[in-house]
Amino acid sequence: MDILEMIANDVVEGEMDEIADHVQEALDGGMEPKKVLDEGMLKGMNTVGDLFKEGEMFVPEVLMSAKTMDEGMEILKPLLKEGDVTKAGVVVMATVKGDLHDIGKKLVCMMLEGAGFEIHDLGVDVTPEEIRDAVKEKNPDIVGMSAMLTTTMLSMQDTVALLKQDATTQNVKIMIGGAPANPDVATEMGANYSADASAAVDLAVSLVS
Amino acid sequence: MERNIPNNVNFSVLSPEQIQKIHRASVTVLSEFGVKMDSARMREELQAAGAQICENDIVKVPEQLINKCLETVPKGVSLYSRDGEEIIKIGAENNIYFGAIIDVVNVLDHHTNKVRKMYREDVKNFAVLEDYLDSVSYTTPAGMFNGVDPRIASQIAFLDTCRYFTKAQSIVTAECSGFEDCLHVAQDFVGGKDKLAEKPFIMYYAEPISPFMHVDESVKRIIVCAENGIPITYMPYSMMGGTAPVTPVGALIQNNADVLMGLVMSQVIKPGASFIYGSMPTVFDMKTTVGSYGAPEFHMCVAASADLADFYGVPFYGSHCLSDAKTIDAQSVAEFEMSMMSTMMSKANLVHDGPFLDHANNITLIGLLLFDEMFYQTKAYVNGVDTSDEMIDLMLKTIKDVGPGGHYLEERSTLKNFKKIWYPKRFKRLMENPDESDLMDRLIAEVDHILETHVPKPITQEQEEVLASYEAEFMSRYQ
Ligand code: B12
Repeated sequence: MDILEMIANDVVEGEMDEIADHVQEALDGGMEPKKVLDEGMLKGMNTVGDLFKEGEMFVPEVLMSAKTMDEGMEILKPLLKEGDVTKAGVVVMATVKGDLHDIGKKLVCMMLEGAGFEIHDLGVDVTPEEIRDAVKEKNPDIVGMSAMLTTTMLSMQDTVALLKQDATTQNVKIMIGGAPANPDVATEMGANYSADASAAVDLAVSLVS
Repeated sequence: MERNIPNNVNFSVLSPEQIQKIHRASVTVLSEFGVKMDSARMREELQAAGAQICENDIVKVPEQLINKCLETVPKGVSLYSRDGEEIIKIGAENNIYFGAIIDVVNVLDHHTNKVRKMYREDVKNFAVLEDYLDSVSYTTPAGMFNGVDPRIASQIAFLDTCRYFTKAQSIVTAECSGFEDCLHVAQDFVGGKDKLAEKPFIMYYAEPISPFMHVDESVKRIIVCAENGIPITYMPYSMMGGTAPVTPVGALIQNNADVLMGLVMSQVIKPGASFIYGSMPTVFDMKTTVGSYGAPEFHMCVAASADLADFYGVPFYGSHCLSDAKTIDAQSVAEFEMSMMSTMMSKANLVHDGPFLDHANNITLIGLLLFDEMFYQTKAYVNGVDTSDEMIDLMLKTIKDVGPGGHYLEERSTLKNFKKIWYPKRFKRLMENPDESDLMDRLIAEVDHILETHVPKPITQEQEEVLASYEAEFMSRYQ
């Protein structure tokens, strides 16, 4: 197995204790940091995404892989040049006002983070105004909203309406999810829907490309 | 007095030693680690009662206080029909009663077996069918149907349930204010706050956010119920590996601690307030991220929680006829049966949630008939074995009379006892079965027939006036 394969494999297998040594070994051998990232770690992360979708990998394993990737990044980060790491995008996430369901949203955040997105999680029971203010401050590519109740779907609509009102926030892409949401509701609202965390990653990627 | 459904199968998941271990661990959690208590009023009340308030609104409850509250909490609960008759009586006999659901966002259409949106007329249909079935003792209007503003849907569902369902109700609302609306309706409906408190035909429910977050909203519910004499179920829904530790024992310790916290809150507000122990420790599916309703570990843990509630002597809120499948198919029926069997054998007293499909995303009228069938079927199972002296004598005599190679068809004991054996109403045992199952067609026809012919006992003119005036007020709120 060559060293890049080993690094990719560390990510897939969640080998937290091995990856740093392997990344260092690759660098000591004169390999470009960007190559280590793209053809080692990110390749591994893509495999993780595929395996999760196929039902071959499970959530805790995926999260372990993401942590392993972070370990490797610790070493690579200072060496990477500007532009070497392209952030997949910035996302502001919230469970909307009145709603306290949060584990689904947390998972979506973790999966998006694993796929290279920068996440600002505003928590639960977040008002339309708070979301709008965060959008102004963080200037994200995407706003993600989670609602599990029919009553709090209304708050989602209010938030979308508020974002549309303001020139600085009206172009942000919106994705929604949760039990009462579906593709029709999303379209009506001017938003995008996905049913689960791995579909949310695909959706986010498609929204920023 | 005999139990309403005799249970002679001696089933328990936990041994007395296991119960002790879990109880001790839960006490450790409450007294040493603490839980988060958002409500300022409750923090004060708890502190006055002897709890310790720490940084970040963490409350630690000493064992003494837990024990004191376990002494004042009622060992039973009674619920009344809409018309004031005691139809649910939980006490020393440990009776068991089954509930059902009135509405959710989606309904599985009984003619097409396909999911569609739920509307107000569906609420009526569910109420009528559930009113008809003797196996159903109470129901849950949840206010999720489409077509009215979601902020008043719970209230409207409750009004319709009063109109078309004569038994008891366990109300679910997204916010406590929605419940308070229903409470006022119910008080006026029976003629005042005291009358309702004396013979409640409604109960309510709240839950902590697992792990260990006792949010304002949930605490408010406990207070409102304690102050109005309405029984409340406190029921964590936790997912092993997600919002609970991944092992059954971890989830049980956590849920048990959270329920005890609820129990302490209710008794601190009002010693003697009605309290029902609920617990739904389920599996967090690590492949799909679903909180499972059909997992065997879930139903095992619910039954284990019933053992814990029994240990404390408080009524237990169980779960039945639940499935992760979306339609009536082989999977959903298998999962219904497993949950039904487990719950019927367990020490549950009020059993809720069925017939839920698609991990609590849709319900079905056909499911109610399947529940009804399984109710009598599993009831026959838990009846167990009669080994009374008279029975042993009779059996020995019969066996002797018939002798080797004989048959029992003409025996007196056969004639006397064969009707005690359960015969299915809808399932068939034909010698020559048809090549294609006609069960679904028969179930559809039965639903249609009941909906056409069953007329729930109507409410009085004055009661209808109460409901109608509230309805007008609710409807005018968001126009
Ligand atoms: C767990 C749960 C709870 C927990 C929440 C704990 C927590 N920390 O989150 C507790 C017990 C506290 C709870 C409370 C209530 N609940 Co609840 N709850 C559930 C349950 C059983 C599972 C939800 C869950 O966490 N699933 C696991 C996670 C991982 O999945 P998920 O949330 O669906 O998220 C995935 C996708 O939806 C998607 N996704 C989620 N968010 C987002 C966001 C974006 C941007 C994208 C792209 C994707 C996405 O990706 C996620 C990961 O794959 C559902 C039933 C169900 N099957 O959904 C009911 C359910 C959502 N609850 C319901 C109700 C009614 C309530 C209560 C009102 C009950 C009550 N009377 O107290 C309260 C409301 C509290 C409040 N104000 O929010 C109803 C809602 C019906 C409706 N649509 O109106 C449901 C559907 C159950 C039911 N039929 O009765 N609940």
